[in-house]
Amino acid sequence: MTFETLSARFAPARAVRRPRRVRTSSFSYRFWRSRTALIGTAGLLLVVLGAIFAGRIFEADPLDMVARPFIWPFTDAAHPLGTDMLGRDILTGLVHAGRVSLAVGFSAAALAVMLGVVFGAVSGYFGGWADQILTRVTEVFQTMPPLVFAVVVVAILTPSVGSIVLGIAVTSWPQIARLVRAETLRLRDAEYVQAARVMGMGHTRIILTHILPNAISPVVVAGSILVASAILTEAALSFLGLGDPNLISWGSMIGAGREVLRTAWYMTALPGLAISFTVMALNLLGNGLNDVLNPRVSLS
Amino acid sequence: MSNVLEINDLVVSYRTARGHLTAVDGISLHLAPGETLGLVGESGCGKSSLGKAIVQLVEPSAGSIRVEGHDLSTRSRAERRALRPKIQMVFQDPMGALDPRQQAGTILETPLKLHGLRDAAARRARVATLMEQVGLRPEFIDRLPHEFSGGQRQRLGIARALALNPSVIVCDEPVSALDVSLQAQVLNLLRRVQQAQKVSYLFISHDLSVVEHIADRVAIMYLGKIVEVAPRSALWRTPAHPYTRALIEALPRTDPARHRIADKQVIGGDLPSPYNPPAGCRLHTRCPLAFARCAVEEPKLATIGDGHSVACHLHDAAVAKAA
Repeated sequence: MTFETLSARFAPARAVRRPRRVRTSSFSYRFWRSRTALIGTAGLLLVVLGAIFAGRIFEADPLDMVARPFIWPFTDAAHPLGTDMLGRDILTGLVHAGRVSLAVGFSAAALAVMLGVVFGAVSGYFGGWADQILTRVTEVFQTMPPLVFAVVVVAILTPSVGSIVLGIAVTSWPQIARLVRAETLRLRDAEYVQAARVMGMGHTRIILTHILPNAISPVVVAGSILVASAILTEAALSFLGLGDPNLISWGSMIGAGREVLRTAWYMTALPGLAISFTVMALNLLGNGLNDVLNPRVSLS
Repeated sequence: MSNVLEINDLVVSYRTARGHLTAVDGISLHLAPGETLGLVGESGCGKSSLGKAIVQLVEPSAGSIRVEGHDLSTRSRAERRALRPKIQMVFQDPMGALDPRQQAGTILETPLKLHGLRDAAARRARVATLMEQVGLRPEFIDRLPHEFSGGQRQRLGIARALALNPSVIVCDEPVSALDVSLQAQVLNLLRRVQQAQKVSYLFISHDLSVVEHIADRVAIMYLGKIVEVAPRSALWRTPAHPYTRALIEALPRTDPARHRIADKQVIGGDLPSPYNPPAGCRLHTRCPLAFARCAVEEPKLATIGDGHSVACHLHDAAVAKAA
């Protein structure tokens, strides 16, 4: 081998583009590496897509009687999951009920997170008497058993989607508020917050641009698990007959199937499975996000 | 031109669970344009509290702070906020002083946005100038703080302090978290910036040898009080206060014949509790030269030379004898 060929071989390739810098700490990089988060997202996506396109896939009203009652699942191709005691198609019902369950779950969680973030950030950042008052208020809400409290709220406001969302949100915001308060307490004396004050930044802007972005990781995790627990609470309320009477949800399907549990157990089991599947997907997503957002956990 | 910063009888005290703590107890200082005043003292002597009061991070309990002639204590909130850009700060921990989720460009752009530079192109140009000024490469603009080295982070912190064209920068131990090799680099940068912009520094440090490098004048602080102020050369040649002498002698020197531990006058023990400072001269519990009067009467800061003041009864006595 001559010197020329050798040097040609080891000469730096001039045309090679510099590789794009990959941030191994970035959210998307870590997200794609977390199996838990991906499985959770996939499961949730399935349910969400089903709910969104429910009207397209199954055009019939889920409350219409379409066939003979008590068709068992997997016995009739026209009704793959069978019919209930009034002859309503169960698969149509499940998909449409997913809409209500998910809508209630997500909006209750969103409302709870909003309330919790505002209360927690204000009480943690300003401290003093504001903190004293807000912490007491939070504690009052936390002393009440959540389901009983939700039942009371829904019963007073008459059952509807709005009152169910409110009932669930009112019982679950304190945990978010405590989380945000603790994070804010940790961050408010950080030197970068002091630096922001030295340059003349106002409190609201400091909270919005420095405190919340740094406090949001645990809130995202808690929020996704909150959606799961809101779906469960909604199911419990519907089961107790406190659901919106004009809408079908997984909980109300279970409640309706309860009476024929011994002869047609599939009527309770199928919506139960749908709830378990959704809640599990959300919990997986929550746990996955916890790993993704915590830089100290290595994802391999 | 008159002083950019004037502090008169400033008192900073905190209400804590253990009781009343007076961290800064009646300090007066002034800072001329383009000057560097070193503020030296042990940990816990109140030097950081003084710095924080100057940048309006803590509210002083008494006394006045004048920024370019404007007294902060008599101004409304809006006016005080308008004066904030005049005094900026460089923090001790370069990592902690930068928001871990903000890119270098955002960090430098924020102060410009806050103080009314609306034009995005002008902001970008200013950010580029600032980065160049502190020696950061332009392509670093989208980096996050953890992607920088310690020295680079501190330079970013300095660039942020410079963004608003301040007349005073309070440097709170800006190099004590850095390696020795980086300390010189950052100190030189600070000096270069000062020559270019005529900014004044209040340079807080517990390390006399760092202050020797950069300060024009030095103030020595002990338990919330200034015990000696002097031009740098006078302080090194003729330190008047026993505490200053002990600090200077405690520095490692490369003359083995003269400076042995045995020959040194070392101040032993710990700082007394600032919750309950000793009566009389605050140093008398640790001072090797203390005499009866020190425990009873508190010495006042008195001028003994050109720009040189000291608070010590030994000097009262010397002056009295000479007169």
